[in-house]
Amino acid sequence: MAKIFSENFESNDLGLYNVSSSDATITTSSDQAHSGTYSLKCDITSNDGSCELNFLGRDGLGEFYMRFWVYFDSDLTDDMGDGDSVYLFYTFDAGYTTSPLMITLLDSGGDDYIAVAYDDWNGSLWANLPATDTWHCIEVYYKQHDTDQGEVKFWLNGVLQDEAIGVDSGSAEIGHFWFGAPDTTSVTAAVYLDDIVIDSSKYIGTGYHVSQDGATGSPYHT
Amino acid sequence: MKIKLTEKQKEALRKKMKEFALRKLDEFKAKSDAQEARRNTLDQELKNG
Repeated sequence: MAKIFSENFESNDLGLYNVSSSDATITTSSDQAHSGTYSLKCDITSNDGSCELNFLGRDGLGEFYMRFWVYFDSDLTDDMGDGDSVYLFYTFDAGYTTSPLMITLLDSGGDDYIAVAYDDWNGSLWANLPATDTWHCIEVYYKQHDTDQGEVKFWLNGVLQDEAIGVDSGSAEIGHFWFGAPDTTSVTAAVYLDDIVIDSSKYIGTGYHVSQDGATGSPYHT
Repeated sequence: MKIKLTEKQKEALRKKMKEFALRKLDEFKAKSDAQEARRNTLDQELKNG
């Protein structure tokens, strides 16, 4: 197992990250927390607002599991109309030529979904948006390949929703990661993220809380 | 679950991707020549629709 990144926001400090916002605020907050006291609060205060924290994926990351918990309030889905979206996760390759993997809440035809998009939206995996005002676990496995050996899998609350095997999953490895609400349309609402983990080789699942390493019963670590 | 987006919907989403990349390159001040070239390409693509 090789954990690449984990964050539970319990330090109550975003100073390690590149953080930016426009018509929105991004802070640690005790309003909601999946575990501990704090989570990342992305509060979109005007239509088309955005806020995110960014980190760089070393020399490029081509295969990994990524899991985070998300809480979105009902104001968000109330505001969304056909074609509106709220991105939770965005990536680009090092040269900003392609977006290998994205996760968004999306209204299509009046129905709300979570979409995991890969290879510049040439492929996508979907699930119905679950209930608002509670925490949900999103996990994705991503293996980059630019012809036919790529893989993308999408779990919601520990249940596999959809998968794409043997596909073109993107033309380049990931160099830049953004979490938060990096791109939105026509919503004013808050989204919270917590317990983010990226691992190069192992499924993480719903049971593990960041900082549980070595704890008896930690399902991810043992 | 399989949802089929139309090509028009996909293009709208790709346009948002390009806008996002352009914002980030502007924000990072396009520190390298390659980033500056990519910024200019994206800017032109978006202007051309």
